[in-house]
Amino acid sequence: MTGLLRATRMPILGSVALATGVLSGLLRGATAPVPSLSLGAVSPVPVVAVIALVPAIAVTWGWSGLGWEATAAAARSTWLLVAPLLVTNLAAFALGSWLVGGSGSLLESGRNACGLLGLALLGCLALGERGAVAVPTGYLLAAFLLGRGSGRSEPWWWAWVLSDGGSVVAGGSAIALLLGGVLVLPRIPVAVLRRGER
Amino acid sequence: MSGLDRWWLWRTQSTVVLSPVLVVLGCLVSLSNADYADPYWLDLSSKSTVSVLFLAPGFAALAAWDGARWRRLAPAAVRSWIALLALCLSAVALATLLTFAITLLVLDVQVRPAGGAPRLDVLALGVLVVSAYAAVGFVLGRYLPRLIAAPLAFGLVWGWVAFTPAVQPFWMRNVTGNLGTSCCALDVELVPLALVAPGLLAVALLASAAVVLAWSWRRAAWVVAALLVAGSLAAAASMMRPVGADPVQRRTGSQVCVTAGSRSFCAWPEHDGRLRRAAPSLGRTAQRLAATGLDVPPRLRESTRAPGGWSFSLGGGNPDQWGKTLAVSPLDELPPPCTDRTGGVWPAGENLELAGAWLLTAGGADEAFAAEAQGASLRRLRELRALPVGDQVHWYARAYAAMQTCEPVS
Repeated sequence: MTGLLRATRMPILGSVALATGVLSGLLRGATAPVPSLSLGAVSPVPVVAVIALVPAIAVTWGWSGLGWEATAAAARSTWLLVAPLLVTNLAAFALGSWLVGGSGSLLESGRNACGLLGLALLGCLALGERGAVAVPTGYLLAAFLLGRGSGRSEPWWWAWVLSDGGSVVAGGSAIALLLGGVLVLPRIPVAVLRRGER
Repeated sequence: MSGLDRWWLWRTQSTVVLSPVLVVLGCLVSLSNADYADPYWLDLSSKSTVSVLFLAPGFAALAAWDGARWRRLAPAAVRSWIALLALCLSAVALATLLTFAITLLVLDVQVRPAGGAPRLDVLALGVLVVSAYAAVGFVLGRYLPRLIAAPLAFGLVWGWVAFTPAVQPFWMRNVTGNLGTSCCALDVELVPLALVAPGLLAVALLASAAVVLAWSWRRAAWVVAALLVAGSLAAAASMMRPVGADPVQRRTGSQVCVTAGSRSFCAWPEHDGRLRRAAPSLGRTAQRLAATGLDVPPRLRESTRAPGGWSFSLGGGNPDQWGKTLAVSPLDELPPPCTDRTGGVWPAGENLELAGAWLLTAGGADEAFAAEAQGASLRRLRELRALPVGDQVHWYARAYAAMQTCEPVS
């Protein structure tokens, strides 16, 4: 177990997730003006959306420390190997944001972290290791550029990362993505190895 | 060496392979955000660089990915880190320049500025800052795992370029090189150090990246790099601290003037054509306002306040509106600055819409149109207009004076 903790850098990654969760709680409600293609104007986007990339990337990086070959060949279930890393990071991030920002922040930050982690895992399956970065980052850019429509007060359903923490549709979308990512976990190591590295 | 091998180095760089995507998106971002641009080269040039907000974090992340990739290949590489950085940055600079050039070309065709030339210094600053942020990304990739470096570079650069305009102090937003969203209407120009401050910081970032990559094994290199960045940031901050939210000042230089009726109307040379078309309408409006008893000065300037707050605007493409901008111009700078202290409480502001509608009718507009355009009550406007003209002017003078303060209406 100690070896697993060390290989997946769980203590340091958990601490980073906690710290960024605190930052996410502190910056709840802060927005940054970003050009929107669909609105044809600069529109404010929540800063916490970008911070939620941290736990998503932390899980993938921690897993890579375990070794894709080792995980692919391991006798133990991939879910069991990765679950501690995944749960620790998400929980630490959510805890940090809740401690500072309360339940509203917990809902928003937790939803963002879950959704982006799901995208990172699905990206890993589709594109290899680079997909873990490219897919959630690409999604954020797409949401910033196209997520709001003119004459609509709420963002499009797929741009859940721009919604308020209380949005049920946004929360459901993020949870669905996380579940999708968790479901494909066992196939990821082989997919990464097959894709190779560039 | 086959043709394929010759291009291997370029084909394997994320900054090269994905640059067409960023160029296309960058152009779309800039063009979709330039719904109205003045025929003023400074405005067009700065609007062409709006995509810095998007290109800088994008290229920083890609450069980080490339830097991390080169670290894995380093033992077998014959090129130095500086050469690899130069290779990466040349692709970034070329793609950024292409984005700006395409955007500027399209805006030029749309707006057709009357004279002058594109502001190459503004475009050069945009290329410089995007390259500098890409260099930061490359250094992160050199020392961190790529799964960490790329999103970290994206997040840091995005936060620095996009988040600073939303926070205080103001100098932070003015040293990032993101000029596109803060410059420049026709009546303003950049303050002298607006390009120097972000340029200095960008050069320092590039120099620091080079120092760290060239002598990474020496602790002194890191100290020198940190001092370079800190020193240039301090210098840039001191340059921009006296500047407000946007790094601009009132434009200086000579305007072109046209006489209509007994008054002369002056505008910036870029609006010469519009001024000549608008002059009859402006002359008529000024004459009607003066006939009502308002003190309209003999010389009026575009976007420059004459005594009494009189001015006019030739923005937008509708000649019918240009005369009306003169009529309501005294109200343009309301509410007064004191509302910052009173949390928006401005008792005399209750007369703002009615005063605007009355000014429009005094300038010759129809009552129903004036009330609708200013959001005023048509009944109250008719009651006011039913008074003797002297009383109307007296009401306006009292209401206008009261609207300059945040005191309760007496």
